[in-house]
Amino acid sequence: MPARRVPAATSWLAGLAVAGMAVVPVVAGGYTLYLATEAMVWSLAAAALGLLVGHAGVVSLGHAAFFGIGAYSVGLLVKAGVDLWVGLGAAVLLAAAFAALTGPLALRGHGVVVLMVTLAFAQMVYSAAYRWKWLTGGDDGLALPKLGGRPELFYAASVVLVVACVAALRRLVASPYGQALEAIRQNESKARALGIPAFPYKLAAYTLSAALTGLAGGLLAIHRNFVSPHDLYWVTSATLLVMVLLGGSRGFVGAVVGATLYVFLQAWVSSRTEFWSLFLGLVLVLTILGSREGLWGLLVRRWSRRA
Amino acid sequence: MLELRVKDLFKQFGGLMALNGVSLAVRPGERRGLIGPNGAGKTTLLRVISGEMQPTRGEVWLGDRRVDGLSPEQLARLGVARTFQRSSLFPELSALQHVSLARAAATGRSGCFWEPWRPDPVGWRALQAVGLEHRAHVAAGALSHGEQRQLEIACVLAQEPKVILLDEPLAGLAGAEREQVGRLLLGLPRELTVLLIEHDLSFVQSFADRITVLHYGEVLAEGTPEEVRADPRVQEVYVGTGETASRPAPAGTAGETLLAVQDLDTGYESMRVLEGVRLQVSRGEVVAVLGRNGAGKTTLLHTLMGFLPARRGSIHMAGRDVTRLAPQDRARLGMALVPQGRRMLEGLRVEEELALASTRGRWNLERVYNLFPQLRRRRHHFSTSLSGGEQQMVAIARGLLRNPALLLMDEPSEGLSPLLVRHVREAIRSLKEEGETLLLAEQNVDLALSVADRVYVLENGRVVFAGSVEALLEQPGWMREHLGVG
Amino acid sequence: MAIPLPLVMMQLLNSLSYAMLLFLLAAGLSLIFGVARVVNLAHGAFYMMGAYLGLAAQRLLGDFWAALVLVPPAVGLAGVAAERLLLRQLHGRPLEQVLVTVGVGFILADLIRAGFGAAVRSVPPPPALSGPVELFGLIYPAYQLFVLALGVGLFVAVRVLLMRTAWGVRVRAVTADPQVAASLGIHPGRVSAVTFGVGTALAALGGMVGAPIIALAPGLDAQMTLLALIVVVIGGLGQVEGSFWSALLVGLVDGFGRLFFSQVALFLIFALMALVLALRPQGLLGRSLS
Repeated sequence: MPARRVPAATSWLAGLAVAGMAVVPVVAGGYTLYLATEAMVWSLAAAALGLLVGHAGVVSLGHAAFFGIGAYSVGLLVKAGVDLWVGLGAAVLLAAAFAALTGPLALRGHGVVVLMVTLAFAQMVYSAAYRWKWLTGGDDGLALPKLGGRPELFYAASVVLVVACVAALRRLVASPYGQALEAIRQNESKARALGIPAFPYKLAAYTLSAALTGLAGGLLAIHRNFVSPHDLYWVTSATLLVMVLLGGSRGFVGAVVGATLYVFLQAWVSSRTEFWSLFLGLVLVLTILGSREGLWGLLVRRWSRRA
Repeated sequence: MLELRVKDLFKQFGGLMALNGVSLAVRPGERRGLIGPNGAGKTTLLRVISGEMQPTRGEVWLGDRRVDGLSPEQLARLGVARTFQRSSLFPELSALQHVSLARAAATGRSGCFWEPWRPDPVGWRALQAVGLEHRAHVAAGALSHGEQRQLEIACVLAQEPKVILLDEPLAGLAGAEREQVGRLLLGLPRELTVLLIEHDLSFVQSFADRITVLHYGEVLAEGTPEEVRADPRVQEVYVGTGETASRPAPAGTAGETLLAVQDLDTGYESMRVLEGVRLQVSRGEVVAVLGRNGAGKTTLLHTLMGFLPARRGSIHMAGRDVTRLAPQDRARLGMALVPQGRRMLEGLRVEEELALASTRGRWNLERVYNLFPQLRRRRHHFSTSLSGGEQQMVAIARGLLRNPALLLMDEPSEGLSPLLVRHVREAIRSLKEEGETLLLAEQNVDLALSVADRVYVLENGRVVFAGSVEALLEQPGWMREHLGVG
Repeated sequence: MAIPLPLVMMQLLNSLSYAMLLFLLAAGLSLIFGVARVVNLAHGAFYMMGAYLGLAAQRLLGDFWAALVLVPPAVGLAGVAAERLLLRQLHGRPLEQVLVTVGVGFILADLIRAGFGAAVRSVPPPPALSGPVELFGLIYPAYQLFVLALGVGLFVAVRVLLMRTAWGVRVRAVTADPQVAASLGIHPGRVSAVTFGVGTALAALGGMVGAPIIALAPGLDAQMTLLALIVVVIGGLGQVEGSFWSALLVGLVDGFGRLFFSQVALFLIFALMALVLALRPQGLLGRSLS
């Protein structure tokens, strides 16, 4: 018996969104399909970050590292002639390993300190990718052969993956472990007094989130046939946070909506002006000043009030 | 059933010894009350036992296992449960989720991530036991303060612990809620070993098998409730030695009304701390606000200074409505505060801290140094490195240098030795002779009555007595009941 | 080592002047954190603003020194505006404040790009300081010495300001306990706005004097923010003195790391930070954050 019923409006909106997501881009094809695939890949990473930000209360500004590690793992292994599936597996494992390694240091602090330390570690990876030209191609990035099969198929696969991951994450936060994470976010000392080992639980969530973000990074490499150090840059971390915040930091559907909105918005704005990050900055500032629950949260609330 | 033993426990914070060699043994199944004035080290002791703090020195034993140095979660798994001084819950989780989570953590199932959480039968029974089953699906943040307290106890029950540490479980509760939580505590299973901190002494006496009295981080007395009640040292700590009567306070020259408080309500989140407080201070008067710990004295002074917003009611200072003003604006209108716990400014030297507070007027550095000669000697030291008594002098001096129309003093005797308390008393008396207007919140009845013109007694956030010192002294029975060991 | 002494001395000077540049940045960041409790991730953007506005002002006024006097206070005013208009609204919500500064950083970076273009620019030192100077038989570039002197001078100045002036006492009081400070008649909001201004002005000053040392390019803002963060994390949040020693440490590790272990120089700084975090999470001179 779940304690909190999902409001009818949410599931209704979510159903509509999934249906729209699945059908429209395939019909439209071309650039729309490309962007929709891109949106799905980012959605996966945003949902993974949403687990940390919205449910474990760990605000990471370093997820670009996991994203980039995933992308470079796939890129380098595929270029070395390794099987694509092995590459994706490596993307997941290496991102998780990096999280398990840096997490103990990053999660020693709280709040703003976590944010700064995760940022610093991510920039370390970025600098490495940028400087180690012999491995990564440096600023030029890695150009890959075409990998993803037919675009429609790759898109369909990514939709299935995102839906499955969102469902799994929703199940996770509804489990005792998910409740424990919530408890840690809301009151860590009380949680520990109840016997919940806060630190290992947070580290596990951090590692899981990193693994999913690494997978997303790998998919992005396949989708774009290109890996650039820019994917590792801190703007990518901030972008992921903006997506999560746009959708309202809690609930994974929100993250998907936020990511989709972001990708299409960016494409639209970038086709008109080259000053996208000016626009991004404004969106970020206004989102934070405007509401605590994000656009998706506002939308759901308005909807349920009307219903 | 588990024995809880503490051996030679020391805990140092900077220059302050919060625990100074505390030893005590709570037998399996015993209910132990822990009392003592503010700053005696009670909560510190609890936090060291529960693993939130490491002791500077000393041992904690649970049965035949040494547990100091373990983390809170390890201790919880060993069967130690605790409640916190201020309600400590997960505001967005429902009551049922709380007890189920507490149960899952206690049984080591909180790491299960593959199946949805389920309401736990033991947790449900705990909710029933505290009478919250009809609120099972309400988020804790939306519960009343009394219900939050009940839920905390339900969590403890759901953990099925062996040892319970309760930190002021009745704080901030009144009326029916207070009675209900009190009944719940009295109904705790007898096989549990319990250590209870509580300021409601009549409750402690009805609850505890034995009582330990802590004072300046040391065990002052220990025994059955009767023995402790009869102990003159304990009486002295709480009500004072009775010196008061021999010293009538010099009659104040009460002028026009300086401070007028009307129907003031304040609180923190769901917890209402002050309710309908009315209070007046006239120019040249010394007014004392008495009450046990947790009665709302500090909250009252914080609300007057503007640290906390008033939820209802008004505060007028010299005829001007200051209810919505920021602290610095109230300071400019002539209010100053000697805060509880002294709150020295870290990184400032004594002289800097005093110069910072200085304003033009009757009090200047020279006069303050004459009042507290020790401070002149220590003026180049960091204020945080001073002893407790010296810090108190800095805090009072800071207030005086504001040359305030009204000086609010919050427990200036807290944590001070009797000698230093006498020193503070002399300082306040000389201020009074100078014609300063003081509002003094005190737990030390003796000190307060020897300096005050008028008295307000707070209980559970309400004024239960307002009148002259003489009128209060005429009712020794009432005083004992409301302020003393009872 | 087979590396000749003059090279070592040269690298020492380079490292020290670089360290002073880091100190200018980190001191501002640290001050702002101590008083306003805001981690300003737009700090590097203010550095860039200082650098580019400095260039523009030099072109306009034809004088490096006049620009050096005018530009930092102007950028400081922009900092005060950001604090008052944006951060004040989010008082007591540190994470939201940090994210807003991220947004401000993006906006400023793009505005700079719009105004000055995206090309990499190496800026020559002002003519008076472009020559070499002979010292103890070795020849040094005068500009590095100037930056070194400026850094040390500002460290002394900031310390005197904080430790010896009434304003400094106020700043320290608000850092220690804003409530008690307010009850003593100090307006904590005003002190934090001024501190924000001083902090961003220091960043801008860093940008102006740093331009001849570190070439200007898009993306430099993030790099400088990151370096300032590392210095501050190592030195202890809110500790100006900690920032100074930590900047020296980072500057020397970076400089000599490049000289002796050029492949892994970059990691040495991060390793240093990780080490400090593991052993002393509050930083070298920091107090624990609660």
